[in-house]
Amino acid sequence: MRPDGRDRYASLYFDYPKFDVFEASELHGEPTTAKVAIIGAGPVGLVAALELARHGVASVLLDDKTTVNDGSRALCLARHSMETLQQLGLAEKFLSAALGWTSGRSYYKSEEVFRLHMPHSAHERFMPMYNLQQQYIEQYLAQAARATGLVEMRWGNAVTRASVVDGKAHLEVSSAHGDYTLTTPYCIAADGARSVVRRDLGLRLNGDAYEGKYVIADIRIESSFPTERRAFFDPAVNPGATLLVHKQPHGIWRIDWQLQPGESEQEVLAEPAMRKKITAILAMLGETEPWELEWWGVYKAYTLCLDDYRHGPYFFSGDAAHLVPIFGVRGLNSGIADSGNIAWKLACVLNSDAPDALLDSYSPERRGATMEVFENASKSTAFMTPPTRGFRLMRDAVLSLSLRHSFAKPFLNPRQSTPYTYADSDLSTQGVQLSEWSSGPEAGAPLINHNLSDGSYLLDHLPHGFCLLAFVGRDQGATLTTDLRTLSAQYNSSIEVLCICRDGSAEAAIIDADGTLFQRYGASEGSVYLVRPDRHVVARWLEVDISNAEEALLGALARTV
Amino acid sequence: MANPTMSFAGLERTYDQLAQAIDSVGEDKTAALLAKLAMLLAHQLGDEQLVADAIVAAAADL
Repeated sequence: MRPDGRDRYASLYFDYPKFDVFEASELHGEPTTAKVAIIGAGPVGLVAALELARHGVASVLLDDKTTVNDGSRALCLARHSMETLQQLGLAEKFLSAALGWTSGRSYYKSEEVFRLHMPHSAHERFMPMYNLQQQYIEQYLAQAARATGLVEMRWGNAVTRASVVDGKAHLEVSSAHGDYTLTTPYCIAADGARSVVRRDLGLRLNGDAYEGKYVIADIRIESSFPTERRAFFDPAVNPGATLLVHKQPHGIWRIDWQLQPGESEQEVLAEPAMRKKITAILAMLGETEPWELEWWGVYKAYTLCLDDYRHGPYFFSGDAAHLVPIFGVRGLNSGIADSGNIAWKLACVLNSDAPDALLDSYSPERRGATMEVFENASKSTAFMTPPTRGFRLMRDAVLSLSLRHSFAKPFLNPRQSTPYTYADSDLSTQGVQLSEWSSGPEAGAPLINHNLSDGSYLLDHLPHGFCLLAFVGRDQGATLTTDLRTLSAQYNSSIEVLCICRDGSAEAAIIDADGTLFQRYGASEGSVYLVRPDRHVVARWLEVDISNAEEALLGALARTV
Repeated sequence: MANPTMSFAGLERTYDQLAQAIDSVGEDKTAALLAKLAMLLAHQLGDEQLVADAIVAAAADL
């Protein structure tokens, strides 16, 4: 909610755009041409639309609002998400607006007891995390989606009922211009925690709710403190509970604190109480500048998900499929990964390169990722808000020990979001040579970035579809490339060869003069990685055999070999 | 303190098991549970000085 006297969209720093209500062609009796409908123009739905457009697939994107989401929502983009945004051509836009960060501090009472350092190196183009308010994320994505010419943005078009008719997604839509129905072969339900599609299909989220509630407040204040994650356990201003502080662009700070046992939500959320609490928190942080209140709300942690993310023509993505606790920045980032996963698969099916069965891999792959997220999130949530007296006693004991004993400090690690490895997926081919690989991403894992001698990075050079990353010698480059290109020519979808050579050969797109890229990928001349459009490795061969590569490609498209 | 002899994963499992044991015996028996546990571990460790140091460390920052 906003302070008294300011209306819903009266932000201190963000001008909410006002989109026109879209007048649907179906209202004039024209048929729907798009093969994919997406419900929800949040970051997850928008990334799905952009990914589909990247593969040449048109979509219809429906949202009941005529602006972007308000209030304090997601703020952390992880490196893996930035790499996805780079593939969408949006890296510069986001880099110019977001605040990157690599580290954090945890305090117990008033003492610093843990320093968080997220993995980072000179080989990374992107920092481990970037803070940017969700309003900007949505605004930039919506602008990009419109610019593709392949995404029909239907603002102010609310899906009131979703069903399956003859195996297709059948949507009843309501807008200021009138009501209509829309039928598409496929539909991505990215309509959030209160998903209409989920409700209408009679599906339930299963899992756990956690003890404890958090207040989330955004304020504006001038402060020179760097962009870091700060977590306070049992601070004097919130005894017995926790407090989190994050910096955002435009002088906005996110403060989350746990309600203390017995505190009334209504009393805590009253504006005078809110201002008093924030004043006390800022005094503890040593901030003395005047401040303004932007927005606040209350939050409860859940680990809930659907049993299956696919239901006939519907694919659930983001919060519509799973709800995760905020600690560890998993909500937005796992939603973006969901969209990146389903979009290329839909494109391959619509391009007639893959059977519908390829789409069945979406749920096991992304549900596997959700399960890993839940495991980490459960641990960090149980530490932040202990569920029972026993866990509380143990947590406090570990915090007390962490003041003087390093063995106890890893318990304070927030286990930040990391990309998932689709090692067990039917689409991944685990080679027989596994033990011979000295390094590099295994089948199912995402590619690792690498700083090249010309200052660019490996991922800058990725083609937009499937990629055969070929490590070649001076003489074999041409032959291997011809063989791989003959293979890729048999498909409608884009399958390109990207050659890496230690010295300049005609076919080499990337020169690895010092051999460090070969080394980090455990490659020798003749090694090949087959990579999916979402940057995950399908299979790799120390010495490629074209028939193996073809088999793996068919496997990644769920085609019978 | 002595060098760590248990992996972090092992420590995490111990943490969970202790929390569950504390919950199952209830509040009035928690102190007794932890006191008995300390004596059992001291006996296993077999080093009086290490146990004495651990008692001092545990008593700090309460």
